[in-house]
Amino acid sequence: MERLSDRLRGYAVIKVTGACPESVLNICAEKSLEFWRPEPTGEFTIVFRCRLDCADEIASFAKKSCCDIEITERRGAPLLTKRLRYRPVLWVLPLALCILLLLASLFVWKIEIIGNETVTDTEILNALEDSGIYIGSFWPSYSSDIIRSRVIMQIPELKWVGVSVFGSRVRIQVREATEKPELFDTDAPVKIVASRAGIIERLSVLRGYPIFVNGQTAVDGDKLIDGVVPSSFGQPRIVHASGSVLARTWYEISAVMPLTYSEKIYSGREYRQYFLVLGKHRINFYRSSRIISGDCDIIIEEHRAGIRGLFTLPVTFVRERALKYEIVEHSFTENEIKEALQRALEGVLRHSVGKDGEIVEQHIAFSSAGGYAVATLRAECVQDIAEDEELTQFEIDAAKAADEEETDTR
Amino acid sequence: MSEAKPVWSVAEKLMLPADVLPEAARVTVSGTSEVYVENHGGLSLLTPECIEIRTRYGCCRVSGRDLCLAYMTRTKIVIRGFVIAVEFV
Repeated sequence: MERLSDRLRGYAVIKVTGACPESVLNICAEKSLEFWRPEPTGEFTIVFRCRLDCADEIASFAKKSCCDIEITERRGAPLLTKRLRYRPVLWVLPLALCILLLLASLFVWKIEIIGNETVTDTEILNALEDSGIYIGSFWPSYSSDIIRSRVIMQIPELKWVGVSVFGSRVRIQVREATEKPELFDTDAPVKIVASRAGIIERLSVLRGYPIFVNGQTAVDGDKLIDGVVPSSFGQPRIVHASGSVLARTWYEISAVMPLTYSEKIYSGREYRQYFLVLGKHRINFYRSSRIISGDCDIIIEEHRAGIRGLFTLPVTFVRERALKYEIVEHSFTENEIKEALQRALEGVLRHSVGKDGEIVEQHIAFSSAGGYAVATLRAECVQDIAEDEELTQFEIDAAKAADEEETDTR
Repeated sequence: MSEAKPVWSVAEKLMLPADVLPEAARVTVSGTSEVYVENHGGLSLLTPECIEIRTRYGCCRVSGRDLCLAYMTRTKIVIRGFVIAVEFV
């Protein structure tokens, strides 16, 4: 295996045959002619390599060394260049391609967005387009500070934006702003009402004036703890009522599901279409329309030109496959229906009762009618039914007026 | 050879090291993989098992396996391969 430097400079392979082929090597060493890899290929033959410009000089030692010297081959970049001189297409096209690649790498062909959770990619892409970052834009003209400030101004949900360019790929890294936590305002006029009807089992008041006592029944929306606290010494105090109201509640929830379901069965028939996307233009490699009769799933495979992680080109080869299928009706078994309905009903009940709530007793009844299965869940639970509700101005005024009236009476 | 004899005898009498003798071949063996010969007089045999080098005071034979001539100039020769023996014949 020749070294890269030898290939670039060019070399000749010389075959020496004679009684003492080593004498040619001695003459080369004597005359300081560089040679390498002398290999005896027979009893009276040695093959070695030398520089292209020394080959003819070495060949002239034949008489002096009493050997036959033959230049078997000449290789390397100089010879290749000489050959390519008469075939310009072979070097002009690769050169033009290299220049094109170099120029293409100065433009953005792919935008990656990472770090966003609530803000969508589309929103960020629109903001970036307004700031000058879009597919096909010239990235050396970017100014990170301007882009950052413009995007953050357009999308206040973002607190930080980072722009990194990797060849023709731009990575936009964003950090979303954290929402301010809701503060518990102790002076806000708030009362506690019942979120659900039930028999109160334990009423604990931290702040406010209790309206109900244990064992009483409250209906949905009843005021349980008032935010207006009467005072014996002056006007009633308006507070942010807080506390917990554990109540026994009852639920009746129904769920319905069909007795049959549809399943896709692929027929094995497949239609393939190919097209090329150059920037925003599309070149179809098919004549027929894209509309395919019957039901089918369309699978699109995109292959983008470029080197992964280094750069991408605005050329995408797309293969579209349409897999035909038929819909077949199947029936659920009784157990499957019961399990599915029970799972759904229990999920709804658990959500309604809340994390701290307790399901004391539950019963599910199943029936079927008109091709549907119906399940009804009846449950008895113990849960916190306290719910904050802001006091209306009318309630505040009424409480103050009642107090003044009482003072006047005295 | 005949020219070298008086030089040898003078050098021996003066207790001079062999290094200082003009055109004395200097052979350096590095492990079993390389032999470095200075002040040689050319190759006389080149095979993968044996390489013979002419020197002013005789022929230096390097025996071994897969021997190859790594480098050769007017004064230096480097032989690489598995060296078994270096002898003057």
